[in-house]
Amino acid sequence: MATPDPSDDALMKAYAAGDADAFEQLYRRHQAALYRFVRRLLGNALAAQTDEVFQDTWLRVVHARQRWEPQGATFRTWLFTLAHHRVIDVLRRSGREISSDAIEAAGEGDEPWQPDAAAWQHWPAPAGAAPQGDELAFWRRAGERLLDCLEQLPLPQRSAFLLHHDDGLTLDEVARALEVGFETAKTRLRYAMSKLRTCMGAYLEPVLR
Amino acid sequence: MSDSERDAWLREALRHAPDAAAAPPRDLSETILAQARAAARAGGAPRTARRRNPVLALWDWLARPPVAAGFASIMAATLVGVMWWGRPMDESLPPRSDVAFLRKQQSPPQADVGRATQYADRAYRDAPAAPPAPSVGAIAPAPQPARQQPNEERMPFNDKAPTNAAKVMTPQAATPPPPPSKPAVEAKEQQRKLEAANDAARVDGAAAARPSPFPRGDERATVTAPTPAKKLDSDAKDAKASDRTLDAAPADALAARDDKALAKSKPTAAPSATPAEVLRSEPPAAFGREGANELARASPSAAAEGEAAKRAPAGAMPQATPAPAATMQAAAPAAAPPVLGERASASVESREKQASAFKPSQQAQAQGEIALAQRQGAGATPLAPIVAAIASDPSRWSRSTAAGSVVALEPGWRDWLAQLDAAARGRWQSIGATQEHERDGDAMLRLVDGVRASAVVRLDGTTVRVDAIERGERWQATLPPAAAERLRVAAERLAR
Repeated sequence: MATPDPSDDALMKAYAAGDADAFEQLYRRHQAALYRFVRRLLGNALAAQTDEVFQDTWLRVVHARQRWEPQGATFRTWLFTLAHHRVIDVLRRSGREISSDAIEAAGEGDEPWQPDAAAWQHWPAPAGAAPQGDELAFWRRAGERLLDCLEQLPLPQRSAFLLHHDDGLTLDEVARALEVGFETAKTRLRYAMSKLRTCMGAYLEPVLR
Repeated sequence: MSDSERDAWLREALRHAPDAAAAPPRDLSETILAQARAAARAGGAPRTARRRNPVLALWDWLARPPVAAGFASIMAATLVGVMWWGRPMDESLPPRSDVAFLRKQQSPPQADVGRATQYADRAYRDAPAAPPAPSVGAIAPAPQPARQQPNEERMPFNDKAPTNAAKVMTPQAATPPPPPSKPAVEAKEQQRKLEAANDAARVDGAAAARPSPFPRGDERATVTAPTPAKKLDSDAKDAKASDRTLDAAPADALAARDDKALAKSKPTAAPSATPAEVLRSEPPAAFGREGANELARASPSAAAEGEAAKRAPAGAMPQATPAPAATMQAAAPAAAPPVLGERASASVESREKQASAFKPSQQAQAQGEIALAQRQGAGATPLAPIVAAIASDPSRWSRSTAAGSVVALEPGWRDWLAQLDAAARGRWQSIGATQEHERDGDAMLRLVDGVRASAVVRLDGTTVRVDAIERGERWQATLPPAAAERLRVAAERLAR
């Protein structure tokens, strides 16, 4: 009977006690998702900063090992919070405007515009397994288009979408990671999805006809 | 199609995005892991070792941001304190009046009337002041040393009054001031009008533009008079007490008002409204210097005396003047009872008439007298400075009558003084501080500068004596019999 993998919190405590292997396990477990998250948050314009932000995030974990205590949030949530802060720092340093409350910019209370549903009917069903042939090509083009659409989103909505749909954090964890209220995180996510649907539907419709 | 279905499509597209397989470079991962291992190796043991070393533990404690910030603040405060060590804190502040005064005191004042007034004001404040009298207009039946000593000369010009007046004024504090009587108020109003007219007609432009750092008489407390039911003598006595009370006003109250007035510092004419006001506006030291300046302007012969007055210490001058002012104003019209008030009204009216009658010729006359004083200035005489001072500002001068009232100094008296000075030229002798008694046959002129007794000129037979109270000098001269007789007759005629 195989022993279950230790939790992130246990590994972090072990690393804080001087166990370097525990950190290596943590790193292997979260490095790909974190790197992708940082890469997608920075976008194509600041893609060159991805390595720096990624390394800095992990070094912060290293330096904060003695002070770290799981206070309601998981290690993963904390890790993405550190990365989110570092991305904001880089964006500010580059002179890009960071809207801390994108909802206000989008008009809070207004129902997001819904795209025509007809375009989505030409989309193939989400493949559970690895798609093949034209279907794989379709999803790759859709993925490229989705990254373009993501870059058009404000940072708060983009981070909410990525944390929830790419990294699998629950809405509560998203709210914790972004250090906002639950409703705020939920609203950001709703606006992000609406914009992405519009963007993706308008793009894919002529392709599929 | 529901949102959940479309979201599934979005997630699928995200999963097939080009960067879905993105991963950190190997060397980056190695670097991160190496740093993590190094930190893990250095984490436990060295930390405990540092905790065992007290110096390193102290350094760790100091390196904490709150402690370091506090330590830096203390160091900064210490540095600033060391930089300012031994330096007065008010260096960066704007100069205060006291500081300005001290600076002026360090540099000797020139013949600047405004600055001299400021200087004298300060000296007056520093001068020995009478004990505080809470109520300026308080009147109380205070004992009067002059009355208690029958042999003592009942002259208003008394040199030892500062202490006596102070002693007398102290018990008056509890007595509330009675309301001023109507005649006294009217007399005061008329006197104020007369003084305003005199100011307007003042011939000396410089004297007219002399800054007066003190408030006018209408801003001050008015002199109160006793009730009409009292007898004349007692009224006069009470009026004396009242005026003494005014003169013995608390030094700090005067200083406060002076500060307020110094702040205004407008160049206005300074009429003599009340005895206390004039006493304040022209304190002893101020007169000493200002009079010396005027004298220096008026007569070259008096320049030496002016210089002597400048050199004289500020505290040395007041000894002669406050007391005469206190006693001199005992019979002032403003403080007189009703009967005296009527007399005072008549006196004021006569002064107004005289002032209006002599206004046109005042300037020429004054200039003539100044020229005469300059011509005669070769020999130092006790009367020359007085004649010159009267010529420069006649409206300021008055005389005290035998009845005790103060009236304007008529031009006839000025001529009489000039004649006396001319007749006694070359015959003056200093006689020191000998005590003299007034006799009935004497022709006497008590000169009052503002409210201060300035000099007493007494003609006794062929002997003329001048008591220059301001300067503390006594002179005597023996006149030719004819000139003495002529002057005596003229004095009697003028005194009527």
